[in-house]
Order: sequence, then structure tokens, then C-alpha cells
Amino acid sequence: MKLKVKNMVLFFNKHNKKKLTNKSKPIKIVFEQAKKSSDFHQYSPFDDSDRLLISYYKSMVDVEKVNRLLLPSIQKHIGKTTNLDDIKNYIPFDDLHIVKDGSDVQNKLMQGYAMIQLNELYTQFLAVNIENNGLGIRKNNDTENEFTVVGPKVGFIENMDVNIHLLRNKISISDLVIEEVIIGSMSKTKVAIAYLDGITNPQNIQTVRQRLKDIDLDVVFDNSHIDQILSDNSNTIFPTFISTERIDKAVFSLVQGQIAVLSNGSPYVITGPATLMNFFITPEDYYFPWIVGSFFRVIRYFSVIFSIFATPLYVAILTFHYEVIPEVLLGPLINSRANVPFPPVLEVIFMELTIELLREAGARLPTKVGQTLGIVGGIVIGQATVEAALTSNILLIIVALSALASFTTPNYTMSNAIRVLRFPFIVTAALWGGLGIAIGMVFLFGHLLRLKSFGTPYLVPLFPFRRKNFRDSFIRSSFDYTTARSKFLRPLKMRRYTPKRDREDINNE
Amino acid sequence: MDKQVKESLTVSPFFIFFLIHGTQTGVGMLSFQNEIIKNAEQDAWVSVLLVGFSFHLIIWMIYFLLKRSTKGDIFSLHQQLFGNWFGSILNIFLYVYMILITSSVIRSYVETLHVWAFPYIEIWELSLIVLLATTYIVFGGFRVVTGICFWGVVIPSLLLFTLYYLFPYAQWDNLKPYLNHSWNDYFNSSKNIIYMYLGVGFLLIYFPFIKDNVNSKKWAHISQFYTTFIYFILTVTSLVFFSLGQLEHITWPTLNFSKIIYLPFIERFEFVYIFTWLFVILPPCCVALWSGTRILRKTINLKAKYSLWISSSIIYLVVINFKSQIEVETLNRVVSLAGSIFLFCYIPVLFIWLNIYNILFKRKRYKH
Repeated sequence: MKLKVKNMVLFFNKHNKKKLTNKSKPIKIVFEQAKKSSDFHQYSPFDDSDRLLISYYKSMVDVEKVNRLLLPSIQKHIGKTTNLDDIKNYIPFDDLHIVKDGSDVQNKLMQGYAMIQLNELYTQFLAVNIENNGLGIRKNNDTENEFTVVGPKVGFIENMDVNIHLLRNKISISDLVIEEVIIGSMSKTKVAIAYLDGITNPQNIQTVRQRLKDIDLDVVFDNSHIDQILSDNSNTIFPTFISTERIDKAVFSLVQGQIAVLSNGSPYVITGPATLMNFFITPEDYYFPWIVGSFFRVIRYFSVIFSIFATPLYVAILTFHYEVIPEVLLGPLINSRANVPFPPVLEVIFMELTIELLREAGARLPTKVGQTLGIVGGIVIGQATVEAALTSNILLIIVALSALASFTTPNYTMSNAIRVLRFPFIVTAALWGGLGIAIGMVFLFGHLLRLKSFGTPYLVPLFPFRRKNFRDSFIRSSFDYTTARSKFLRPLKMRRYTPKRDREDINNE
Repeated sequence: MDKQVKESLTVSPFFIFFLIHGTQTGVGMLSFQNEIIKNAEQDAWVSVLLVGFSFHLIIWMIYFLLKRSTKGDIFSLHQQLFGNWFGSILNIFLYVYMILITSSVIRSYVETLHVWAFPYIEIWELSLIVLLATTYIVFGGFRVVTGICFWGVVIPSLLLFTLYYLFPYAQWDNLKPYLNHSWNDYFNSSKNIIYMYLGVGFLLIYFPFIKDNVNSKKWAHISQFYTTFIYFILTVTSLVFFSLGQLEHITWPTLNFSKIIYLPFIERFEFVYIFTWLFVILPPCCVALWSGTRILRKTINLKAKYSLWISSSIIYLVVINFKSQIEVETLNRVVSLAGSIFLFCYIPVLFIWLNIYNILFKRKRYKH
């Protein structure tokens, strides 16, 4: 009962608001406002302007369509035209609306519609969609940021309609549902949720819907902008959703029962609920035989661990626990560090920051200059610092290796998180040695245990423990075994496919 | 169903395994050997098994009690049996016990750290960071505490494999002669090892946070069995690796035998043990601190945030006031005694009292 009342109140409020905007935006004012811009065109294709008036923003519409299709058909049939519905019959466009409301007219104009009115005095408009949404946008994306050697090299682009087309190309069933919302008071960006009806958990869909609805922004610059606002916890360095420009990755998520969020103007699609393990998956794992795929995946996990803990361990051992170093290793270590004037922690932070500088500079510079910089930075500076005895050779190797290891993470946001993560560990290692690293790990686990992605625990399948999900987490098992969807997503259907294979082994003899 | 808190706060019964096993293993594992050999000598492993199996009985009693309490934990049982006022006093005793457990675990671990790894870092600094980590975990609520129990079992379990390095040095004759001690000796040794199994007691407090808790008994028993098994292996390993005379004089036998492990890139493996041990001590610390917080919250209706900080501060004050090794041992002995009384005297008494009470109460109800 209470809910009903609340709904009614909401309804009335909405209604009132609409009325208010109606009153404040008569059509005359809308056009006056529009005429201030030089790209707004309003004219009649006939000598006597009383008969028909066309208005549009030249910058938003496809001028070719206007000249080739719209104008000729109107001019041809004008004799028979008495009202707007007549135009509807002969005009060669499908997206047509009759609009009466001032603010609707304004919105439609901004979206690239042309307004046709029969008489300046009439308050009815026919909105014709002749938008030119491909203008100034690249036509294809070679997925260079998430490159794989095997597999399709088709990526999402900045146009959402194309992106949806690409998704539908891969999932050719009507169960793929796309819901659209408009976000951004200034940008009016189209944002869409995509999911598989009858597979994706409705509760998750509702969460996404609700969170998107609650977003209040002026301009949506990129999907990653939405990603951060949708996130369950904003005080974290870890990404809580996967963002990808690869179609196969997005489709894989959808098929698993995850939800994808697309936004117009962004080549990245975010999918969730995601878990920590999801960020270390690349499509190539599935394009190789499962043993090879699993091997590479395990290497990726090791490299993450190495990348986080290598330099903190160096600091801890050299500062507090030099007893741990075996005698045979002690010689080279002493030799290389003999002339270094700094304590290990300063040495490490200096070296790590140098690598970060190189990376950051490489990312900011144009590609060709960036390559030169890599060589200058990596080889010249590295060699020079060692010769000048600012760092030890061994540290240089460790730092370079851990930087290399951090680049193996397929997800760029996650790889950044891992790069940031090692700095607190270096500091705690410098303060309390091995205990510091252990304490850091406790805090890390405590944080990861709290993290959630659309309400799903981040550490699944480790905690809460899901035995069956291990088939596709640390290793990528054979396709014969990855037939079920992940349980933590609570999909409505568990089974993805049923493998049929006759093995010629002792069982079938 | 009212024996359970809100479903979103609960963990699945499977995690009882990690909760119990995680809270049973602690700092004691590094040094329990010289306590248990005092009477039973080379047959100390019998005592380990005896205590281990006796705890199955305790678990059975605990489940019996909890099933009959109104809200599935010991506070509600206290209030049900003894009324509001006296029940609250008992709860405060329980609170003190929880604080003492956390303090003793943290203090003993810090002592180990101080002796083995950081002779130049002050006790107050080391205990502060360990306590802060504990508090941070407890802040996340019971699910995060359970998560840490999970990691606190999984990560240190990797160390079990390193026992393999000890086998070439094992002197199996150390175990002979078999079973030549009196019951009295076994019993006396058993008393000294009860504190290694105390983690079971927390079940009385976190029970409502287990999903489908009434049927979770299986996991509790499996966990208890696993703990007994691990202790048995450790005891036997220590007995075959050290002679009785050596064991008597070594304070941390587990750390000492880890010295034998050698990897080409790690000279002194005991450091790996010491720092990984943080994950072993965290489950008992976190669960005890969480339980203390919950007791305080339920008994005097304090906000969780404040009761957590108050508990942590008390623990910190207790921890930094025990300065020498001997004082730490006294603290441990007090906790061990309190725990033994709690589980082996109080629980059976409560068990009998509940039975009598039920009979009396039911009769009264029939009369009315």
C-alpha cells in the first residue's frame, strides 16, 4: 500500500515536471535558441515558405541523405500532401515520429533528426532520423591494446549501434536483450545493458539497471567513467568490472551469464559481475589446446605474484634478514652492492620509480618517439646507473623482470593495480621486513575479501569456495569439462553445451 | 530458523572446517612439544590423540547446547538459564576470556618474532601492527573473518610439505619403548596440551552465522579430526627428530627443526616459517576479537564500531604490559587454564544443568 502511494507521488511529480518543462519551452523559443548556432538550418524547399519548413542541425545530419533522398521525395509528392501523415507514406526513411512537444523537438534536433512542419503555424512536427553517427569516428578497431596472435582482430568502436551489431553477429538469438538508457545531463549519452534473457540472473540485471538509473553526470567521457560509478566500492585500486575492446571477450562474458554495459562513444565494453580470476583470462587461452592455454595462464599467475613480491622481498632480506641468503649467492650480491651508497629501500624505490617514469613517458609520447625512449631509458639509463653505483646489478635484473611480469596481465586496469600494489609492500618491507610483507598480505586479503562486484564476492571461487569453478580459473580445462556456467553468477541455466565424443580407449572396446 | 542471523551474513557450513581448524592452530604449535613430553615422554603422541578424541565429545555437547538455545549462541543460553542479570555477568567472564586469548596469542607471536627475527624492534611496535591487522580484518565482519580463517589454513598448509625434508634424519627408535607409561602420565601430559584445541569454544558464539547450522556437525567433527591428525604428525616428527633431552631444552622445537630445510636460494628456512605463522595466528586472534566484540555488543548494547575499538585497546594494553618471556608464559598458562576450565568443566556443567532445567521446566509447564 505504502509503495503504491509512493509510486503515485512519483508519477505525479514526474508529470508536473514534464508540464513545467513544456511551459518553459514553447517551440518558438526552441527555434530561436537553435538559430543562434550557425550550423542550424531552417528553410523551405519551395518558394512559398508557408507550405513546408524543414529544420535541422547541419552538423548532426547526413547532408547526403537530405539532398539525395529527403528533398527530392518531398518535392515530388508535395502536390498530394495535406498533412504530416501523407509525408510519412512516401518518405524513404523508417525512423519517423510525430512530435508536438517543444523539448522533444529540441532533443530530436540534437540527435540528428530533421523536423518537417507543414505550416509555420502548425504545432505538429514530423521528426525524420537522418543522423550521421559515423562521422568523425574510426570505422574499425584492430584490438591493438588487447592483441592476440590467434583469433579475430575485430574490436568495438566508438559507435554503439555498430557495437551492438557486432555483438548480435556473434550471438544470433533473440535472447540477447539490449536495454537502452540515456545518461548525462549534457552529453545525453546512450548507454545500453546487454544480457541473455533466460540465462543471466534477473537480480543482477536489476542491480545494474538500478545503478545506471541512479547515475547523475554531466558528460560521459568513456565507459570507464561509468565503470567507476557503477563500482560497489570506489576506494579500491582493483577494477571490479572487466573492460574490454575485444568482441570475443565480451561475448564470452555474456554467454557465461554476465551483463555487459556499452556506451555510445566508447570502444570499451564493461562486463560484470567479475572476479579476480577473470582479469587474468585472455581469449587465446581458449584458442590454444587446453594444456598450452593452462600453462600460459599459470605463468601469468606466477608473474603477478613475482611482480608484487620480488622487490619487497629484496628490501626485506637485505634490510633485516641477510642470514637467509645462502653463501653461494652472497658473493655476487656483495660484489654488486659494495659501492652502492643507499639503503636497499631507497635503491629499490629509485629503480621502481625509474621504470614507472619510463612507462608513463612511453605512454604519453607519440609511438615512434616512445620506442626510442624505451631504448634510451631501458638500456642507457640502466647501464649508467649500475656503473655509477647507484643501484646493484641484481636489483636492476629484479626490477626489470618484475616490470616485465606485470605486463603479462591481459587487463590493463588490473596490470596498473598490480604496479601500484608493490609500492605499499616495499614500504612495509622496509619497516618490518618479512613481517611487513606478511602484514601487507593480510591487509590485501582483508581488502579483497570485502570487495564485491555487483554484489558478488570478488575472490570466488577461492572464497566462497566453489569446487567446480576451478575447472576454468587457475587452469583452463578441456572443453569437455567447461560445460557449465560459473555458479557464482547464479545463472538460470547451468549447462552451456553437451560435448559428444567417442573415445577409442579401453572404455569403449 | 531463528537460530540463524540474516542469510546474507552467514557462511556455508563447509567453512566450519576452516573456522575450527584455523582457530585451533596457533602459536602453540611452535612450542607445544616441550610441554607434552613432561610426563608421557616418548609416548606423548598418545596424549595428543586422547585430548583430540575427547574434544569430539565436547563438540557433541556444544551442539546439544546450541540446538536448545533460543538464538543459537551462548549469550541467549545464559539468559535463558540464568536470567538477564546473572547471564550478563557470565557473558562478561566470557569477554575477559576472549580478550585474554587474543592477548596471549599476539603476545606469544610477538615474543617469537622478537627473539628470532627482530631483536631491535620494540615489542609495542610489533604488537601494534599485528593488532591493527587483526582489527582491520574484524572490521570487515564475520564473512571476512571466515575468509581469513580460510587463508590461514590454506597458506600455512603449504609448510606441511616441508616436513618431507626431515625424514632422512628421523630416528624412529626414539619412539620406543611403546606405551610404557601409566594412565596418570598420559593424563598429566594431556592437561598440558588442551590449550592447543581450545578453538572449538568459539563455536558457541559464531554458531548463528553458519548457514543451516543445526546440520553442520559433520564439518566440526572432520575439522577436529584433522587438527588431531596434524598435531599427531607434528608430535611424532618432533619425537623422531629430537631426543627427549633436547626437546626439554628447546623453546621452539618446530622452528628448530625447520632449520634443517635447505633450498638453494633460502639458507634459513625458519624465517619463512615465522612470517607465514602470521597467517596461522590470525584466525584465533580475529575470531576471538570478533567474539569479544560481539559479546560486548550483545551484553551492554554498544555500537559494534566502539566495542571493537574498546576491545582492541584493552588487548593492546594487556599485550604491552607483559614484558619478559616468563610473564608471557604466565599469561599463556592462565589462558590455558581458563580455557580448560571453560570447555572441560563449564560446558559439561552447563550441559547437565540444561538437562535438569528442561526436565524441571517441562514439568512446571505441564502443571500450569
